[in-house]
Amino acid sequence: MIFYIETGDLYVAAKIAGLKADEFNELRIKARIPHVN
Amino acid sequence: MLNEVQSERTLTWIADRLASGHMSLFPLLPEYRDRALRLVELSRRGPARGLDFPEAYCIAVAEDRGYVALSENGAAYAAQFLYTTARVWRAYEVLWELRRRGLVPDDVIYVYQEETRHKFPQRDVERWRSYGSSQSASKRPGS
Repeated sequence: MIFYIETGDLYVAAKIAGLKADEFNELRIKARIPHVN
Repeated sequence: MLNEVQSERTLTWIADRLASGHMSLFPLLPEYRDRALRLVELSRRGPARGLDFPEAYCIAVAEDRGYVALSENGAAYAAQFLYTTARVWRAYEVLWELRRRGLVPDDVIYVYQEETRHKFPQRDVERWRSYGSSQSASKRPGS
C-alpha cells in the first residue's frame, strides 16, 4: 500500500502484494485511501 | 484483464454479462501482444509514468480497431495525447457519456467518488458542475 501511495500505480502495487488488481483496489477502498487522477 | 479479477462478486457480474451476450472476451493475440510490449517500452522512455502491460494491451487493441480503451491509469490516459491514436476514457468520460444520454442523474459523479474513494481532478469536477445545468453536456469533455 505504501508503494501505491507513493506512486499511484495500482497494478504494480497489487503485484508486489501478491494480489489481483481488483483485490488490491477493494483493500484501498476499505483503507479509505483515495485514488487521484 | 480477466486475470486481474479475483472477487466472486466481480466474477459473477462478468459471468452474467457474458451469458447475456452484453460482454465478450478478447483473447491475447500475438500481434496485439507485440504492439503492447512496444507501447510499454515507448512509454518508459519519457519522463511520464510508464504503461503497464494490461493497459498497453487494451490500447493496442483500441488503436487498431477504433475502440475506446477504459482505464483509470494515468499513464494510459496520457498515452492518447502522446503516442497512440487510441481513445482512452476514464470513469469520468464514461459517466459524462451516460449523463449525456440521460441514463444517470447529475449527482452521479459525487456518488461515484464517495463509493470508490476516487477523486477526479478539481477542474473536471468544476467542468461537470458547470455543464450540469445546461444543455452543453452533449459536448464531450476535452472535445
